Amino acid sequence: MSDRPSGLPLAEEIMKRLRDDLGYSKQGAEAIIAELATCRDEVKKAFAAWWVDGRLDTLEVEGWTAQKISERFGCLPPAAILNLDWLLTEPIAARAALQRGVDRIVPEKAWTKPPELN
Amino acid sequence: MDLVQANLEDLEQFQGLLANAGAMVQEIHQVLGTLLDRMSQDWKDAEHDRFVGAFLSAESALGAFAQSSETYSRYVQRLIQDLEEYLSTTLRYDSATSGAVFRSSADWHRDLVRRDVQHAVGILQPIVPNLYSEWSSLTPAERLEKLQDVQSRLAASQSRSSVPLVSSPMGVSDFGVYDGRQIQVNQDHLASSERFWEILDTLIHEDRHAYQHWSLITPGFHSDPGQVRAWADNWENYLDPKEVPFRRYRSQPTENDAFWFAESVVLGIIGRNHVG
Repeated sequence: MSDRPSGLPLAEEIMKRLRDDLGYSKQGAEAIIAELATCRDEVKKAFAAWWVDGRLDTLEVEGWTAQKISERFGCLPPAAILNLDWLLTEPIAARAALQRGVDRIVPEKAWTKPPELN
Repeated sequence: MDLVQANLEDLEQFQGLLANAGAMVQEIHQVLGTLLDRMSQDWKDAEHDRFVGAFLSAESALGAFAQSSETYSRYVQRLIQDLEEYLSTTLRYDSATSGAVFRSSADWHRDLVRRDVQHAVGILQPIVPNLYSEWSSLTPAERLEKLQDVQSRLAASQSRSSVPLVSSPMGVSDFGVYDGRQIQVNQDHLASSERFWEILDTLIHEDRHAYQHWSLITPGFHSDPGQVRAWADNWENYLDPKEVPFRRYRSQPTENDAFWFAESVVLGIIGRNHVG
């Protein structure tokens, strides 16, 4: 853990841990680093707490902790923590999104030729 | 007017009155019947006999009305609850009822999508209200078949091929998947009779991904090449919601378009305008 004013590790350290330990895609890890640069201080502190001792319950916003988000949506810890930033800054939109849930596209298969025109 | 397009406040008022209507009608009928019995001791002419005949024939009709009002009151109450549930999951909507055009925007992408939205609303508007009213009586397999029909109609209206629709086991917060070959919807959501609007939204959302895919492999199909390039780039660098916060996941080009499109179509069907 660095002694940088933000309390956050260096970007290279975050990239390495996310990629090596959590199996992040490159673009996913880059997105986390970019989000961390602009998120609220309390979210940075929550991220730092997870980084040091794995805790996901140090910050609660609108009834949600990173632990709850992770359990409900299967998010990896960095994503779960940064969802709290959205709840802090745009609570109505964030609550709606959390209620709605998610979908996915599967990119590697998406380039296959679709069925013939009916 | 389709009931699903009614203003929610009007629906609530109507439902409240309907819930009491049957009981009120029966109560008045009973009071009249009691009074009529008493009056019959003194009123004994031909008009009395005709009135008693009319009263008795009204009795069965009023009973049927009381029963119907109870049934429809429950239906409208469920519709209100389902709509409120769905609306709470949409990010932006205008509570005004339909009739107005979509709000103007300088955003070229959005203007194009608005045209697509209006087209899709026109295709689905005639079939969705009936589908909603029969939804709770259908089996999951029948629901899937009906949703496949919705997807096929949407695809055919855009001159592209339909894709198979399947139901799959998923986590409680996972709504759907488009994998380039087929659309998957959450089988638990499909089995629930209370998630009609969510599953319709999911189907339209995943079908929008199929539209994006078709645009990527069919040059000139989508009229904005810049948007197609953005989708292609995003497809190669897709941000999975397990890895990134939802705000970023939802704002990537493929998801932003699909969320906005599906919400706008469903809101259009129920007579509301998407704002933003």
